[in-house]
Amino acid sequence: MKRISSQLPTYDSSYYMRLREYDMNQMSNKMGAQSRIKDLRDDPLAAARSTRFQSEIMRMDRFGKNIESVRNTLSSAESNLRSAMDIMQRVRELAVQGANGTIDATQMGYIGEEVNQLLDELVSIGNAKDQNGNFLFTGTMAKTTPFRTADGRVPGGSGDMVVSVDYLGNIGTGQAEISEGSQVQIALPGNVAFWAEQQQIYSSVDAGQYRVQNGSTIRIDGAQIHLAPGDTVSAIAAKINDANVPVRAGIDSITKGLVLSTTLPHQIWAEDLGGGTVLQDLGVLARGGNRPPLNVAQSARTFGGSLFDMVINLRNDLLEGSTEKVGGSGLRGIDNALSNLAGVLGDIGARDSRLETVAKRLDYQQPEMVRFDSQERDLDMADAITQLRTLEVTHESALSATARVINRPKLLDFLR
Amino acid sequence: MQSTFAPIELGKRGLIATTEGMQTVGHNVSNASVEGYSRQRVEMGASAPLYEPQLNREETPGQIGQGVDVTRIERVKDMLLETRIVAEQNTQTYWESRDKYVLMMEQVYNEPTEHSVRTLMDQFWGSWQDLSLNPSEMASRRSVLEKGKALVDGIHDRYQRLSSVRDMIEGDVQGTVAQVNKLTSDIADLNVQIVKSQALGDNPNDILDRRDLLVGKLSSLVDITVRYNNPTGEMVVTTSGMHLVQGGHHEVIAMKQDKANEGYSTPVWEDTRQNVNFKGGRLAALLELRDGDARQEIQSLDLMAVNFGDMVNEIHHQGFGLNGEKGGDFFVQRPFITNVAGNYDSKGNGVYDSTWVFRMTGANVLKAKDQIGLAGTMTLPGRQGNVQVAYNPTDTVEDLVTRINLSGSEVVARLNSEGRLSLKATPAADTANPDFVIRGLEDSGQFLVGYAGILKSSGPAGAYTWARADAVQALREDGGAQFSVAPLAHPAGWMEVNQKLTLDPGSIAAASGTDGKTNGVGDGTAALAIAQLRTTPVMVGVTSTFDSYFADRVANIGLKGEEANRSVDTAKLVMKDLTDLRESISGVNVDEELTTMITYQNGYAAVARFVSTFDRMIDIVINRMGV
Repeated sequence: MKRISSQLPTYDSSYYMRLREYDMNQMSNKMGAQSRIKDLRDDPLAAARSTRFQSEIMRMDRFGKNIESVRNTLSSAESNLRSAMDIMQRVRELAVQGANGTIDATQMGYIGEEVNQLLDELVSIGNAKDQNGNFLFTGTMAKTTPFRTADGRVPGGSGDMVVSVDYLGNIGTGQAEISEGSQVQIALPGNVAFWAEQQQIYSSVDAGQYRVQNGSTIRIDGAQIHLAPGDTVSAIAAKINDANVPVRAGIDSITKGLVLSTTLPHQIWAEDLGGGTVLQDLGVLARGGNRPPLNVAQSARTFGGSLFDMVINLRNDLLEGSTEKVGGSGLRGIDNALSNLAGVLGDIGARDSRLETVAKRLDYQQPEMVRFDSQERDLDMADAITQLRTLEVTHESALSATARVINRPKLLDFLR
Repeated sequence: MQSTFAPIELGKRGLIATTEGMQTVGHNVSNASVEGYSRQRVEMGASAPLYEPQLNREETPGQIGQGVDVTRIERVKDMLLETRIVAEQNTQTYWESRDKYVLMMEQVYNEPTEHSVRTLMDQFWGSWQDLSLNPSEMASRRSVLEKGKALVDGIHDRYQRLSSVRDMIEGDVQGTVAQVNKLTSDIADLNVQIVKSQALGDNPNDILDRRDLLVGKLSSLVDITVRYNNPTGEMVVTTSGMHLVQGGHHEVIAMKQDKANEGYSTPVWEDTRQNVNFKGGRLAALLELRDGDARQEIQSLDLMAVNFGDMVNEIHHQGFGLNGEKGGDFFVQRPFITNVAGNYDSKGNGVYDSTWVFRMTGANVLKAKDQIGLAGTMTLPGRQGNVQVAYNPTDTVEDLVTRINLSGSEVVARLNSEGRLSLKATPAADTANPDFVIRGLEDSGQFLVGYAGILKSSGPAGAYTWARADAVQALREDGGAQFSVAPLAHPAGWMEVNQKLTLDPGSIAAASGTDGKTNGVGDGTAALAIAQLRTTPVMVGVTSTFDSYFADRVANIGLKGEEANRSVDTAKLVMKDLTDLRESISGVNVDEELTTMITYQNGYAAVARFVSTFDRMIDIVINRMGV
């Protein structure tokens, strides 16, 4: 291309000036927005990664909040259980005093009265609420008072006293997500926290010839167990033992009745689902389909009780003035309740320390994630300034060159 | 015998020739900055001399020169280069149009910022997490509703912006077609003028320049090839093999509204009503964007919206509200038709002729890891024709679900929260097929039949096909397969949070339960299950989770933009080289013209001097001889 038309230098310089001005504009926009990615096209893959990082950061934020909320709930549960523990220690001291054969019946009566006061205190702890006004120890019922008391006259006692405490909550624990795919229980059902002994239910119905008629489902401690037609009682027991719950089933060798017993101190929670009647037929549950735990058959014998049962027994023994009972079953019951409480507190501590570990990990991971995101989309200022400066310098020199070329001497200037 | 006054005649010819030369210089300089102007050059030649070798020639030695004549005035132009420019032009405009509209679509995303649909969805999931912690609190429930509404608004907004981009492209298509018609008609008119003046032996330089300019403009709109028929020199412009202009005749392109393509118009030949297939230039880019990229963006948003609403509803239906009753729809479903069997009269002749079903769910509960122990082949509707998916006894249910999703069929499978096999339709690639309608289902074996419990019987006899009324009779009846009717087109445009929940936030189902009984007001496991949808593989096809859906869409449109941007730069550079070359050949150089001008000026002066000198010579003969 040896021939240059008069317009060509103008076309050329405006073409290149346009390009450079566009580049400079892009660069200064990016600097203004502090972002390497002004439009997605600037780096689509980094933009895609950045969206993932941003969602990840938001999720970590969320997990952090979840952990905080669960820890708050746990810490109010813990402080309540600690006061319960203190009261139970006092009850134990009183029991030891009462078991001492040197005091007389009147003094035992006084001790009994004090234990009764402490019992009321324990029930009110059992019905404690969290900062949102939800009951702490009622499973997932939240607004249902977990422990209902029944008053009555007690031999040797003055006035009406609490004679039984029923659990009205459920065994739901709720779940909170604390990190990707890992969950933690939130609630602590009262029939675990305020329990004392292993529970056993002995059915009095002879199940030797029993066969399941229709396929049906039973639920023990929240786990569904499917029963097939023709299952014998031992097959049912085997299925219960295979289920992942702290309950073992067996068959009484004498009565041939089904026996359910816990492996961890808590209340057994058994239901027939979908209109089935297997547990009712087996004499474990009462007819009529009351909801657990008030559905255990009258004919079945149950053993093992709650912390409240233990304190009530002790109080009754003290009021009765029976040193042997106080020193024997009474003290043993209190000890069981105490050790269960200690176990539950330990469990809370373990859960809390797991949450703390996860929280610490989040604290470490989140800034890391923010840094990754920043690497993907934030502008390297030093680099950007250098580039912009380079563009400016080339632009200046190009402008001056253009001015010369366009304004160069023409033949016209020399013609007369 | 030579005439006395012959040299005067010769001088006159010289003066005329230099004047014409001078005029052409003036013409060139004046048009120096006119678009498409090619410089012209006067070609001169010696006039025919006295005497030609013939019988009546004078018996004198030598031929006597008769001065100069203008033989022709021609424009300086490389026609080969012109053809290359016409061929390249459409690449540049193609990418420019893509660049412009893809950038618009990129900006719809607002990514990666805190104001995108993705962020709104993150907040929506976060509100469910919050509800899972505080299920009994009204504040958390209201927050779920508000975040849900904000998200729905965000989806609506993105849908509206995308569909307004599509409408804008439609407007551009209409305008471009009108421009093409105007240009072809102008070119045909010029052809007539050119033929007339060429018949008279003229070089119609300026009209030729104008025609070249129009052809250049036309080539930026559609891909064209130009050729000249021998020997008439008739000009023929073709686009993808069809004549657009032939001499003075031009074909008109009309727009036909396409009902199947949501009323967007298709360019057709006005006389034959056949579709016009453009391969390059702005028009091709616009059609591709309108029915390709923009449509896919909207479809993918619809797909996300419909799945998202469906998944949330599925879990919400199984949960329980504060009142202990089962949750209803969280997002409102709007069916395309209210006929419960999905029957639809697509031809509008009063007879049901097709079945529009979006989802089918099997009767049986399956386990993902179970081996199916069956062999056979499923036939599913694909993008074009059917897709075959074979299965063997050793496949697990999970394998098969993945295989269906990767088969490229327009049906996707998943195990729903109860473990039943659920088949859903996706948007259709072909504009002739409706979105979100399962168009066919057949199984030569027993997987879809006895195992999953969707179809009544296997083989062609038991096949489900949408192209007839009451097709759902092919599905298992006895307490078995469930189906839901296709949603109204573009769920992203109408999806809403259920109004009932706004009036009664307590009926948001946060709790789960069994046996028709809730787990209690403090239970938030259903809320947690909804919150966990974000990371569970619920989306369909290759983008398995919502997170990867968003990342994938961002990368997809960004890469398109990057490609368009780079291609525009490349095409521009190529075009610049070519136009520079043209400018170098045909452009006016003022210095050059001035030099030529001085030449002619001097020539004119010299000829004038010759005439006056000869005049004085004749003066001697006439006035001073004293006759």
